[in-house]
Amino acid sequence: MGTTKLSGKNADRAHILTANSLLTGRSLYWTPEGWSQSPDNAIRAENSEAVAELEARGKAEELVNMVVGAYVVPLASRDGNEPVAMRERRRIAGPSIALPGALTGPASA
Amino acid sequence: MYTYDAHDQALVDARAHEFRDQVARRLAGQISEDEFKPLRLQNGLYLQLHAYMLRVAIPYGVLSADQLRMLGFLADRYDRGYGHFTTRQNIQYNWTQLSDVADMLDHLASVQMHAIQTSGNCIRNVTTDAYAGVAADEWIDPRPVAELLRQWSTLHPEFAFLPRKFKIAVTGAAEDRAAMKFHDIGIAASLGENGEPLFDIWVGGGQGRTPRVAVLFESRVSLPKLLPVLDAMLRVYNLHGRRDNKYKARIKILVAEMGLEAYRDEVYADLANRDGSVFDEAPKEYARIEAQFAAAQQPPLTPASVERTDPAFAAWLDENVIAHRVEGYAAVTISLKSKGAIPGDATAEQMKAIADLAERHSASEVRVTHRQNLVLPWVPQDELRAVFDALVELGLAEANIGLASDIIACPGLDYCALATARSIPVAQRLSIELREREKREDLRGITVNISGCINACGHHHAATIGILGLNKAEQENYQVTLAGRADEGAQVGSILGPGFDAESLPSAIHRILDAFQALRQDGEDLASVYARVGKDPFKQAAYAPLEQAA
Amino acid sequence: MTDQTNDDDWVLEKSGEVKPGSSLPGALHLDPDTHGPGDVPLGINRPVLITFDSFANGRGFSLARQLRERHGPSLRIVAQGHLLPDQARHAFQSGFDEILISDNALNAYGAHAWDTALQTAVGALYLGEVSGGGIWNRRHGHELT
Repeated sequence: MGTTKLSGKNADRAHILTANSLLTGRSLYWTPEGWSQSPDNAIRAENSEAVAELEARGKAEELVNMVVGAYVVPLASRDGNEPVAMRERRRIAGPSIALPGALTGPASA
Repeated sequence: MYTYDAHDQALVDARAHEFRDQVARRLAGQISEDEFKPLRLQNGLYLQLHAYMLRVAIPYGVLSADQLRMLGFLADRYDRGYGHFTTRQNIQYNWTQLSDVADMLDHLASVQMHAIQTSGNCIRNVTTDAYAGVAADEWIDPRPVAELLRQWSTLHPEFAFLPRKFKIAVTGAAEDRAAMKFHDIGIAASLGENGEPLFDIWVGGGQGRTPRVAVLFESRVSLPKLLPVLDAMLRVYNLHGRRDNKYKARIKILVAEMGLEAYRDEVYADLANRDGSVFDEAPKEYARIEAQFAAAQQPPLTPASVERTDPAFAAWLDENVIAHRVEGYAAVTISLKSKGAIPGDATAEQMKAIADLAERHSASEVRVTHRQNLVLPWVPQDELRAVFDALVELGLAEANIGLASDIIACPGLDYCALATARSIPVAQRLSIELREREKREDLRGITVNISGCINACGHHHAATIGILGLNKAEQENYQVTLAGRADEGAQVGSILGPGFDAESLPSAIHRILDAFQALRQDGEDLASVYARVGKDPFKQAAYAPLEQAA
Repeated sequence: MTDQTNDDDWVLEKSGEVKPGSSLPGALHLDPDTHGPGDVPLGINRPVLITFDSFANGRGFSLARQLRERHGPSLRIVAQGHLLPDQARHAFQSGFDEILISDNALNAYGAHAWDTALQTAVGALYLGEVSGGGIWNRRHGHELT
């Protein structure tokens, strides 16, 4: 975790701001309405000034104890908010497996 | 098993209360996240990909039925209805909320449990053989010394900010069922000529980025000397272990860089200069603990002959039930690796059901194995059929303990913030395919372990077939290692070659097993075949289709 | 979190009381990363001042323990540097007599942070000190303090 440097291949990418909720630990994304569990409406930073603004917003939100570990996530394309990194896509999608609580007992074994 | 007295209880109560206060101060902004992080880590609370994760300690893998019931209650009330048993005999809750942790710790304290030092740069859960106290080949029950070490290490003020985490394992038999030699300190307990406990101390083992097998530090250390020596070993590590590089901070690096002899000299120099009287009561404490474990051993029963005509029951007896040191009993292992289940996961309902079974059939005792399964250690032979039938009803009677389909998998990229690839879906698919295979052919002695990153929480270095999930240009890529061993012949597996993508990995594993079957002589195991023929035949088999395509 | 340039502004005692500090004239300064017990001559009659460069670096706790073991109760061992209030108990239980706190730290954490941390910290550990105490001593009948 931590801030992403806009170096090399990430320099041309749009970025969104993510963090984890201090209280619940859930992944959150910064939207015009504040923190959201979905990145769909996340504010996109299209240049390095905008990224710096997002990072400052992240620090401010940490300081008021809303979130922990805020950082910017490079996006894969100009359309849509899907991240480049597999790890970040996984944070959005949640676990890829059916959770054990969803199983219904011996019949499914 | 060990039962808390008022002192033990007061300690966990106080620790839970202290953490409640630390959380309150964090939420009130009186401490920053940077300052809170080491405090929450000392109490087993991680921040993972999707939520906080609480790792609850199960000291040396022993649980009472009531404790297991409480673990199920916590899963239901504060999590998503399940928990994950780990390769260090602990349990993890994946969906913890910070606001609930203090309440969870209070519930745990009410059944003599805690989350103390299950993470952070401190001494972690001391682990041991899951069949401690009941294995037929045991020289000495390793649990009393494990409990002694738990007390010694708990909230030890000098060792709370070590260069890195510190893991200790104890064994008490010739066969090492605790992967002892892959720990920072491994202790092999045995009996001396007068029945007194003696301890061989091994140091510098570990998996992760630079896997190492431990080396022998000192043999036949007496009980009065054990804690002073261990304390000095930790002190030299705390003083001289590297703090400049997280990947070079374990004691295995210190011993390698200093040399074992120089390290020993430092340890004994420290010992010579200190007043060891703080450890004077340790032998009495050990005797007090030992008496508790001895009192919990069950009295022998008339041996019962067990009807084996039912082939499913017979297969389960062969794979999941082991001979016991006390006449009339057997130890039953419950597989949490059945039909594509998530390795090591159990639902709250399963935990409660197993707790009930333990109460009815196992002197209310359960164990957690480092292969992420559970054990009922005290089943009377004439109750084996009843236990089997109950497990079948629960879907927990898969007869695959110790077989290839009994796969160890870390949580991986589905959960873990450190992961580079997913491990669970790979484990699920392989477990199903290997289960079919092992019913048709002899794959005895094959272990398959999967880690979702280089930290090796899935113990892939110590497996016959180890799988390491890596990130190759944002695609999952799986590297295979062969001929690792976790037992007393501990050995780090060898990397086979370039990694496979998720789709082609299972067939590569099958071709490796085909090569094994073709090459083995006289029922050799894979490690022996590998030692005899080397890597090349396996490499050729694994990569064959890729070469044909080229 | 804080820039502790005037560490001796305040002194934290084992009781949790924070008193105005004073510089320690003639104190022997030790850096746990480079110094060891051999740097402190036996019979020394000056205080020893050990600096923690980071709250994650626990070397100072071992150094203090070594010094206490070698010099006994007469040596005055003082901690300064980057210690969290929650680490005060580790320091005192490792043999430190006092902890120096800067104005910055006091303002950042609040004057009562150390007292609160010490009060809520788990007091009774299994092993005692050389002078006594601890759960094992209580269990097995040796109550020297």
